[in-house]
Order: sequence, then structure tokens, then C-alpha cells
Amino acid sequence: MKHEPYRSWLLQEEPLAAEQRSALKTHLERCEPCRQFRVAWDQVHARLTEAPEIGAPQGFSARFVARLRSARRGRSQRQVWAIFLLTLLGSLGAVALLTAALLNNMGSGFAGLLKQLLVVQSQVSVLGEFLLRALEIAPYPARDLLGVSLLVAATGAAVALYASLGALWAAAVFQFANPRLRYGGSR
Amino acid sequence: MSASAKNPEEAVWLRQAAAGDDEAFGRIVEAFESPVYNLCYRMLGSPEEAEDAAQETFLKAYRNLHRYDPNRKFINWILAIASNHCVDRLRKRRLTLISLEDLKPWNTPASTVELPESRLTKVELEEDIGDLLEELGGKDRASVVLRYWYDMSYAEIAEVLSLTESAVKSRLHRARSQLAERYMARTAQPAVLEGRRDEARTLS
Repeated sequence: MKHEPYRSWLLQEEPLAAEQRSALKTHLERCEPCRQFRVAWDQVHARLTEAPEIGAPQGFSARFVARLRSARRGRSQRQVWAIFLLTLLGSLGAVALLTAALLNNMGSGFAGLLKQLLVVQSQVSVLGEFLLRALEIAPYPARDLLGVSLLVAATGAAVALYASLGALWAAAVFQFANPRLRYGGSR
Repeated sequence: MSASAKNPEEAVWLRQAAAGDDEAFGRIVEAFESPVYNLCYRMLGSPEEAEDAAQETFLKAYRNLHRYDPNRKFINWILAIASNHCVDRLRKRRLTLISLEDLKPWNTPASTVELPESRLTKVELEEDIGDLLEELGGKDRASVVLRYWYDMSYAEIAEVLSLTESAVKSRLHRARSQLAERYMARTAQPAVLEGRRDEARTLS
């Protein structure tokens, strides 16, 4: 026995037309499964309409406020790191490009600076040799050792200065990126 | 059961909250925590999951308040966020392994409104409904909850779930049929059902 459209009629919310009601009544008198279906739907419908709205548990709003604060803190920290890393990478990229440009240009820039340092080193060596010969107190190899030492010291000082300036700049960027450090206290 | 009636202060709170007033948003949370929690509970079946989902719903609403259209009912907007969030959770739940303890997620929450006198006890009613709704897929379940707990029209449900009206009618029809079939299958095993009812009475 076909159960449609009778089961659909049982489920629909809109009122049935007179002919549909009559056809349904006739079908239900003859069809036990559809009678059971109707009883089942009536029971389900009663449960759905009787069940109340479940209220939120006590303290829900207070817990939401705590969650909101925690979410804000996490977001703020991520933003600080994002700004810091982007600025750092961008700046390092700019420095790398500048260095590459200087190295490519042999007439000036870093290569020129290196040449200047070598000139200074040889001049210091000559001066040192003059002094040592004048004083007649040091053997021949000492004048080379003095020149090399001066070059190493100058290079080391330059690297240390560059690294210190870089660290100082990174700290400044971090402080700028972090509103808490910028303004002090919590926001 | 009806959706929360429109409170004339609601528009004021929403304007203030959109301007950055967190206290105003707090009042909105207090006004809508129950309807949102109820939907999440009916969708997910566990008080703990329902609270987590409801809290996430309000967080999303807070972050996207600038997108809320004041010409639309706020309850519909926030229930749309809640429904979609719960549907996503149900989808993820199906993909994860579950432990034996999770096989029966329907736990009656501590705070429930007192029922009018009924054939079933409060626990039995909630268990029954939970067991029935478990049969349904995410959007079908959401359609039933919005229709029966919030008295939403087909057009409103369509707006909340981003469906057409005919899709909503079709889903509701299919859901009702599945619920009736499930009830019939359960009542075909009277000994098992009686055992569950006795257990529910012992626990209540």
C-alpha cells in the first residue's frame, strides 16, 4: 500500500483541504503503519512543543567578560609580534639591498671603506716602523704585528658598533610596536 | 515558545556597543544569553559544549558588530551566528574519534525552567528530545530548533541559515519524517524504552 501523500499530509503545518482530509481519513482506516506513523508524529510534536527554553547557567555573562579580556590580550600580543617581525624583516631587507649596492660599486661605499682602512693600516705601519727604527727597540716583525692589530681592532670596533646600533634599533621598534610599553600599564 | 521580544533599549545598547562601549555589549549578552545557550544546547546536547559554543557566538558577534544591519532583528542575526557555529562543530565532531563516554552526549543541564505538568518527567523529556534530535543532520536540526523553540517563520529560518524558503520547508518536512520514524523504531522496542525510563526516574 502506498503511504504518500498521506504521510506528507500528516506532517504538514498548513491545514488540509476538505478532499485531502477525507482521503486521509479513509487511508488511515485501512493502513496500520500510517496510523502508527500518525501516533508517532503526534508524540514527537508534543515533545517539541512542550520542551522549554533552557536558561544559560549562572555566571555566564561574567565568564564571557573574562573570555573577552583573554581574547583581547592574545590578539594584542599577536599584533605586536606581527608588527615587530614585519618591520625587522623589511629593514633587514633594505640593509641587505644597500649593502649589495655598495659592494657592487667598487669606486665607493663598503669596498671604498675597506680600501681606506687598508691605506690607514699601511700608513700606521710606516709610522710605527719609523718610530721603532728611531727608538731602535723592536725587531722587524713588530711593525707588521702593529698594523694587523690595528686593522683587527678597527674592524672589531666597527662590527661591535654596528651590532649595538642594530640591537638598539630592534629594541626601539619593539617598544614602538607594543602599546603597553609605549603608554605604560595595561589597556 | 517565542524568540526574545524586541526590547526598546536594545537599539540603544547596540549603538553604544558598536561605538565601543563594552558595558553596553555586556547588557546585550545578559539579554540574549538564554536564547543563544538554548539553541547551542539543543544543537550540541552537552551543557559544557553549549556554553563554549554560546561564548564563542558572543565573541564573534562582538568582533563583527560593525557588520550588523540595524534593520534586521538582532535575535535573528545572533542566532544565525550560533547556528552556523554549531553546524560547523557537528561537522567536525563527525570527523573526530569519540570515546565510549561520548556515545551519549545528551546531559540534562543544571538550570532548566520548571515544566508544566506533563506525562513525562523533566529528565525523560530532555532525554527523549535529545535522542530524537540526534537523528538529524546539522542544518535539519537547526531548522527544527528555530521553528519549535523560536517560532521563526520559514522566511526567518531561511535568512538565519542562508537557505531558500523552499529548502527550509523541504528540510523541515524531511526532519519531521525522520523524527517520527525514529520514534516509531524506539517504541517498537518497549522493553528497552521502559528500562531507560526507569533509569531516568532513578537519576532525577
